[in-house]
Formats: sequence, C-alpha cells, structure tokens
Amino acid sequence: MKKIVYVVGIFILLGGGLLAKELKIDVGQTLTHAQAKMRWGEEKFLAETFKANDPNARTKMAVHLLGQKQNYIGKTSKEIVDLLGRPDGFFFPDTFPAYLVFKDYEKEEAWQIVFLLNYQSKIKDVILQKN
Amino acid sequence: MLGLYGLTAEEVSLALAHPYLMYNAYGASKAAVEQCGLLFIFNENNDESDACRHFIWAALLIGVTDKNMAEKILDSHEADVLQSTDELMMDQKNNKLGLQTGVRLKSNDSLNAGKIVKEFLTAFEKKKISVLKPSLKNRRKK
Repeated sequence: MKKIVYVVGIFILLGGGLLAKELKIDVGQTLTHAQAKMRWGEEKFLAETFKANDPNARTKMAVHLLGQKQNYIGKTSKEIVDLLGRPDGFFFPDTFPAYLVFKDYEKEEAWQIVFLLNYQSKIKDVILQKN
Repeated sequence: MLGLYGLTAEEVSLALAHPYLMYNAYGASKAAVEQCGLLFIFNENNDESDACRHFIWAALLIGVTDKNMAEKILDSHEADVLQSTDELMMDQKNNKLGLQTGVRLKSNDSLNAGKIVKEFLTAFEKKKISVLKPSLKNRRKK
C-alpha cells in the first residue's frame, strides 16, 4: 500500500513539475538598463509624449523608465494604463501591459516594455523585451 | 497560483473546474500566437496580428472542445477589466468569426492549422476581420 502511495506521489510531483515548466512565462530576449542605455541613451519620462503612440519617440524614455522600475513595482495594471495609456504591444499572456518602444520594419526588430504581474495582479517586474 | 500566468479571475475558475481542458486551451492559444507570427512581423495590440490571434485561437478551440465551452473559454479571457469597450468588441467579433470557421471546418472533417490560417487570410482579404488600429506594413510579404 505504501509503495502505491509513493508511486502516485511521484507521478503527481512529476506531472506538476512538467505542467509548471510548460506554463512558465517565457520572456525571450531582454536588455538590461545598462545595455539599453548604451544602445539608445535615455531621457526623462514625459507622459504626454509616451502616450502619443509613436514607439520610436518612446525609446529613450523607456530606457529611463527601466532604470526607475522600482517606482512601478507594486502598482496595479490600471495605474500603469492611467500613466502610460492603452498598451499597444503584445506579451504572452496578453493581460500583462506591454508598450512598443522601438520599431524598425526594415530590420524586423521591435522592443517593448512589459510590466510583469504577480498572482495579485500587481507589477512584480518591468522588462525591456524583444517583441 | 494560476494568476501568476496572467489569467483572468474567470479563466482561473474555469481552470480549477476543467484543468485538462484549460491546459489544452492554453496550448491552442500558444499555437495561435505562433501561426500569426508567421503572417505578421510584430505582435501588436488592436491591429491585424491581434485579430489573427483571436480568430485562430477561437477556431483551434473547436478542435479541443465543443462550441459552447469554446465560447465560455473565450469569454472568460475577455473578462479582462482593463480592456476598453472598443477592444472588447474587436476581440469578440474576431472570436465569433474564428468559432464559426472552426465549426464549419470540423463539420467538413478538415479542421487543422493550415486550413484555419487560409480561412483567416480569406476573411482578411474580404475585410471581414475587425481591426481597430490597421497596420498594413506589419504584414509579412508573401
């Protein structure tokens, strides 16, 4: 009887592990604040410019935002949307606010700022991710 | 814990009641993202790539469950309180088209990703797809 319990327990643990691995959020390619600053430089965040929906006008401000990410951690998605406007990027899952901050059609390269949420739907991290 | 994966409260409820089905629905949504990545350069919100993801996910769900349950799953995903009414309407319209396509293809015994993509492109050419923010430059060259 004990053996059966052990075997079933092992299967549950393995199954849970595999499921967690499968559901793990894949953030793909990212840049740190230092890497992004070296590539694009940075300038102070201006809400009105950011909300104007031009990804390439947002790039340097996004770098600044990334450097100040502690200011955003713990906020709700709604607070982020109020501050930055409607999200125009896409992250999987799409309930995480994502904003395009660099777009080059010729090189087929785009980057976005993504606000990762915790289980309480509050921001737990901010990343600069390749779209 | 499922909230960690960005599910809405409604999706979490469905996942608790139907874990295996919702796991398959999650797989279908990932497959939809991959298929649309082949058609569009960037993944954006409210543009054609967004419409594509909804259409294809809805159609693929018909391969996973029946139409009523697929509708429930899609509606539970749209229960994202942050969406504007316009965004919700766009997603719902594309979900509906995808569901209709999935049901039709299933009845012809031809429900597969290739056929669904072809149906999406036809609907797209005929301007049946709902798009809030057109971005035609985003379409990959054939």
